[in-house]
Amino acid sequence: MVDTSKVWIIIPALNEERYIGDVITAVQAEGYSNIVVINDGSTDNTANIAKENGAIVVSHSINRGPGAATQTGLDYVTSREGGMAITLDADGQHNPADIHKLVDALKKFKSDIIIGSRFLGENSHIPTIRRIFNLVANIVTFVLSSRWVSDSQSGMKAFSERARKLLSIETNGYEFCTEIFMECKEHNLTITEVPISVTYTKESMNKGQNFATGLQTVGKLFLQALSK
Amino acid sequence: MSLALYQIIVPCIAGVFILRAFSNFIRHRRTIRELVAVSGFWSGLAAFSIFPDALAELAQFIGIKDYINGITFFSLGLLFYAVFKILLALYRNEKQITRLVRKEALAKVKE
Repeated sequence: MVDTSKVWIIIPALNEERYIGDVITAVQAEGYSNIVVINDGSTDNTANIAKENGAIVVSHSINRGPGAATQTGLDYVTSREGGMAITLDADGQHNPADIHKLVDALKKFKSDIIIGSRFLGENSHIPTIRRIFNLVANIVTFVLSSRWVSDSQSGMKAFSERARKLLSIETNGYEFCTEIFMECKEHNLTITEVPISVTYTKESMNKGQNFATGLQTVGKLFLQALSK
Repeated sequence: MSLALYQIIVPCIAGVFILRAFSNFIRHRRTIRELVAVSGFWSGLAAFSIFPDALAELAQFIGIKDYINGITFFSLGLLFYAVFKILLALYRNEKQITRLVRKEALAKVKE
């Protein structure tokens, strides 16, 4: 049985006042109390609602993107000498009950990173366009990192203490998902996937990758590779 | 082999930029990948100016049929290079801003 006091939940959030309270409550109901919300320059009431619901709030003064927010969360957990870290989206698309799966897998497989895959489970409701974008992203990720996974862009991931300390996410936007795999290659970190469930709302469909951001992502990964 | 003026000027300019990139690399202002990219770009331009027939073949290959090409191609290359440099500089600035924002956020939460 995992000691939940050593598990830190990181939730990057941008203008999520509608969902953040419910997400935090649901995570707490699963027995996890170390919750860090990275308020990524929200202009709404996200930070206050998160605080009222018992989360620690780390606020970016301006919006820097999900990659930057995730690294801030990992840095915060490191500064608190925390154990494993788990990220999940603030828009309620992830089921907090799946956190146990990731925690258990981290212990069972002794992997450095566990990816919560939307495409390994019974998620037939995932829109086709999402599946296509994800496939393209998986191919780009494979080319850049030599690692093939079914869901390279998943926002639900678990990081072992070792991975948390070794990873250094430099990209700001969604390209950080692919960068993590590049970092894994560099540091010889192991990756395992477990199936998770996912619920898409209208808001969550408007976020994430589309064709234009996908092209930007590839361009930024190219710049990132050059500037290393 | 008689050389036109531009066949002397372009390699000289390329040499200056390659030396500058190398100097920046020695002073840790450029990464090895940037050095390779910059050197490759300028070496290519220099090579095309010294061996214009290769450029003519390339121009033929990509569909520019006339030989006017040299200056056009060189200008396009230069513009591409300038845009690339600006993008890289912007990207670096973005990263620095993120580091600052992160540092400030973590410092505030510790207070």
